[in-house]
Amino acid sequence: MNPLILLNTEETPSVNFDKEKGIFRIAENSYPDDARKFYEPVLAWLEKYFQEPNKTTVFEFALSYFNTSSAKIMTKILNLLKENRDKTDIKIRWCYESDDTDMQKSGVRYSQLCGMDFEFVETEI
Amino acid sequence: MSERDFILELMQSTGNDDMHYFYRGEFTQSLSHQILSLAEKNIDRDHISSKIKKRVFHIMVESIQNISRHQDEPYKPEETAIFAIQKQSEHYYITTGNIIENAKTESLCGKLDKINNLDQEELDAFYREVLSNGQLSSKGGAGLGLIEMARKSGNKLSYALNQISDLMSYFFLHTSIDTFTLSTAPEPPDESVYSLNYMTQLHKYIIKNNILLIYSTVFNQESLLSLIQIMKSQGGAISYRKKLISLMVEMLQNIIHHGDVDLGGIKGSKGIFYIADNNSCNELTTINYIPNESIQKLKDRIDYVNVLTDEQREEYYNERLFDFRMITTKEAGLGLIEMRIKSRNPLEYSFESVDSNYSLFKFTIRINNN
Repeated sequence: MNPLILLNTEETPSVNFDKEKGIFRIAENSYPDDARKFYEPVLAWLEKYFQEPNKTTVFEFALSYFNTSSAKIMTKILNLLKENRDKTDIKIRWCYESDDTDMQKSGVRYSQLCGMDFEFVETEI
Repeated sequence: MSERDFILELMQSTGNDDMHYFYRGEFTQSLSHQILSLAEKNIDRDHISSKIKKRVFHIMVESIQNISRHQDEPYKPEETAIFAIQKQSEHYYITTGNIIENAKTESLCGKLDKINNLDQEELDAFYREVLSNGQLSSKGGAGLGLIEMARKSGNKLSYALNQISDLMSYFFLHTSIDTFTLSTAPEPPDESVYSLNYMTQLHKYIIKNNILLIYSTVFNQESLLSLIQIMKSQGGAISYRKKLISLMVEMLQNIIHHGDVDLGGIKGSKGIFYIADNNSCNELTTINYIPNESIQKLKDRIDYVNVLTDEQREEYYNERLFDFRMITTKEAGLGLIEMRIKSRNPLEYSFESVDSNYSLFKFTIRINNN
């Protein structure tokens, strides 16, 4: 399966999905005008991956900012991870820059909402 | 008589591709860079020659350098430097303000009067003369920057002085650049929002209201991104700044998505965004047009979000987050509740009727800065 590598722009995150290397990471900023359009190939890649996933999947969110329309997409991604947790051992890592309590809180919220434990990682800025 | 609303006047005067950008505060290098890039992006949208673009850019750089050279004191609000760039169809207007010692005003005004009396050829000659003979002061100028500005703008450098103490005055410098013709443009009339007179009054108004930044334009994603960059280069605690930026993104994307009303000739979402700093809190405000028939619905939504208890709000937010039936870019409700939760203050709003079709919607978010 080909990796999905998207470089970050001012408004969209960097996406690094690589099945062989076992990397699943979304980072930086996400406030595109049309979040659905941007995340369409991202979600499609994940759906395809889950047809034949690795034994373990460590999924890393390392966002610095996201808008509310991206927030909904995060929910979609988390739902997808949840639906497939019997096929692969899923670990979710939620990275936030130190002091960014809003980002930390939103990780806690997502973790509660989807009923999965997150590993919280405070990163230096 | 009610007080004149300078902010609203700025917004109402904004036409297609026009903008007003006003900043008051400290001019760090990275901030200056971002301000330049904001203006550059706006200029790039225009179909003007690269020669003119360079001129506008050059004058901005000179102006900002001038201000940053003169800001080495701890300032009171009325002493803080300002930079403004405005655009009206074929003209750019640049205004700066900074304090100056009273002892230096005579010589500065003398230089400006001399420059304003020279034609282009004489300016070129004067420039060469100063370049070869002029002694560079410790602040790096010998009037060279001013001569350069006059050469590049092709228009007069108007100025105004306001004495603020026995020692200091506030100095405004104002010039314009014409993008299509190189002939001298008539100075904007005093009542125009592009005049020096207007800018000096606006300055008083923004000091009184503790305003730090104003941006009025027909908003799109690009102008939002420029503002984000400017906000990112501000000082202060990072987590707090990030909160401000997240809130600003929601506010402006709301305008972009919902504020596109047919205003006769204006294509897109005309609006204004400004930030005020009231000691214990920051206030982010947007004003935009809204169809009269949408007022009640919007009002109900905001009121609803405001009256919920913290717990109910969380519940409502979570519900919305997981409701995929309405996943569209015109997502309603989630943005408002996010703003209410993040700001931890009630969302403030008012409507002012414009005509039988539209009203102005003013929306303020207050964020305590602790």
